[in-house]
Amino acid sequence: MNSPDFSHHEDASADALIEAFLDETASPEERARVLASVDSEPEFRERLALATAIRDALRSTPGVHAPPDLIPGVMRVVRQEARTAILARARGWLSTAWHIDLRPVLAMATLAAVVVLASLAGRPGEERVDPEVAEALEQVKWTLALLSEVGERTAFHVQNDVLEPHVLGPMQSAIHHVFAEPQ
Amino acid sequence: VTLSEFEIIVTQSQDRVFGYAMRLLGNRDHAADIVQDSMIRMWRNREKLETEGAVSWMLRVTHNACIDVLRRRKLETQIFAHEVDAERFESGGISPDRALETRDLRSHLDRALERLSEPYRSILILREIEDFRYDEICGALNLPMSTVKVYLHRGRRKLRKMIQEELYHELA
Repeated sequence: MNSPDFSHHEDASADALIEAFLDETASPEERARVLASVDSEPEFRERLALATAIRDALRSTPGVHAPPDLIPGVMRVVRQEARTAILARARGWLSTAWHIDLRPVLAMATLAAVVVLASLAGRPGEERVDPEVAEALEQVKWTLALLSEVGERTAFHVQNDVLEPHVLGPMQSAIHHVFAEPQ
Repeated sequence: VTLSEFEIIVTQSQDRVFGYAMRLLGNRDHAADIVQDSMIRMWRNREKLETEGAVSWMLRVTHNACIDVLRRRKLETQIFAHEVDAERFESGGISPDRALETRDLRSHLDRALERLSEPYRSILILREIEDFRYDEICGALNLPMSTVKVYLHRGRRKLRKMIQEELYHELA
């Protein structure tokens, strides 16, 4: 390796040229000068090679990873502070409202909120009947109508305990009678 | 800066900001403490910050804190601890062959970086190693763009001369 001449007056301009060449900001004329110097000046060629190697070594330095608990730790603190700030703001607002004698307004607002909540809570929900259930109910309705009709025609009155076993027998007899020997 | 914006900013920039602090201080625990503190301070100052300038702001706080620590500890010449070297070659970011090829140069480079004065060292680490944008570096160091470019140019030149001298003395 040649001994570097650090006092050389052309050092600065040669370095500037190398910088521009490596940064790809050199003009076409500067690039031509670099290429010509590489061919004709061994010292310049060495300097360019060293500059390139240093740049490559710097840029290929592997990244360092932050500890995995860094962000969770930060977010824990930040979220806690955010919650505290919201509560403090709400407390401050209420305190201000209280002190400027907005108590009637606050009372009215609270009452209105209670009424709205109560009406929402007490509102009946929309009935949703499953199609199969509706169909079954329809069948029950027509069955009861039929029983009623049978009762009318046979003077047999269906009592509240119609579903009890002791009434099933007479009912079946009556139905059989109705359908076997219609009046 | 909202809470969700804050979370995105710190998550995306954590490795580079931590890497910068780590390379300046040479100690993972100290770097983590400083970066965590910078992030929390950024949140506390969110009302003064735009989303675009948030990384620069955090980087500036981190930089100032690191410089303070270095001054207090008088460790400005002892950056790049063995821990960094170990992590570099274990992290898989560079192939073993390439690591061997560049190992000699890297040892010179590390020593030269240790000896390099501020702000050249910070600018070189931020730009060449951590790949921060020029505008982020300007914000971090509170310097105009032209000055950052001049310092970067001078820093590279100083680094080159230091390594050139070392190589010359080694071969002489």
